[in-house]
Amino acid sequence: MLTNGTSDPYAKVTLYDPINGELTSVQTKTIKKTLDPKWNEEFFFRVQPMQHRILFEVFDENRLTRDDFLGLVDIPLQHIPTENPNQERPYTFKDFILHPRSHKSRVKGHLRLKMTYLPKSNASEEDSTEQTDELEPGWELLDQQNVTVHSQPPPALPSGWE
Amino acid sequence: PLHPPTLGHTIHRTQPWFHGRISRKEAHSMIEKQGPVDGLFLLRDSQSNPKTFVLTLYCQQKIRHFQILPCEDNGQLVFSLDDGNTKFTDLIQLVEFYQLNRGILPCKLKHYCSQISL
Repeated sequence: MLTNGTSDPYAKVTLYDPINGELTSVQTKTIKKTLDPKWNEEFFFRVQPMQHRILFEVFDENRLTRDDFLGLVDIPLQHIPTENPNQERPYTFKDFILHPRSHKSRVKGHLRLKMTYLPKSNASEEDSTEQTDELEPGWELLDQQNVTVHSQPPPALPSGWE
Repeated sequence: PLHPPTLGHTIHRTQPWFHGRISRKEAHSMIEKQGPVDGLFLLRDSQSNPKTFVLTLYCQQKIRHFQILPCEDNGQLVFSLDDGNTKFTDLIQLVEFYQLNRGILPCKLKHYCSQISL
């Protein structure tokens, strides 16, 4: 497949439960013609840290054929730090190596992410969480933590990559 | 443990923001009575399109209705209101997401319309 040495990458972010499957899946915008995309997008999720995981998948968007898979990062949520958003946020991004999904896929590069939990903060936040306390039976009511994800990934693809 | 495949269809029915089969007109008047507050919302069954749902949302002096359509994703039934760009296994996930993220909506979901028991 000819790419002229470039891609139209986007990232798909999926919150999932290894037992029950995918819960929520969202996508970044596609950045055209780049091997070094900076999506700078932020997503918030309400998660159960001991049960849920987040899967990042990077794809090269193709108009006519199926999008090419460029790599994945699969992250458990127990050890993510908590940060106060009112304080100045240090831009400590972490780089995650992109992994293949089968023995066939060849991937390269890494994904730069910033993930934190936000502490339960002000009164207005409390009000809306009160209303959504209706979790179905079997769900443990945890500390209602939110995960902020900043995606800023530079997968460095060599030119001519298939 | 086995999870019935149709759980995604029904799990929302006991949620306080779900109003079942009310019409667009009824949704409209319910929002007007309890509003106007940005982010006031409710979800309901679509009358015109069974097995789909509608999000009715008040924002910036307008009441808007967003179709929530089911679609298939790798053999799993998912719901989306933005043509499959953002997908959810059930409406509870959908509401939680749009309480935290604006997405394509004019504003985040804030307060739900309470059901009025007759």
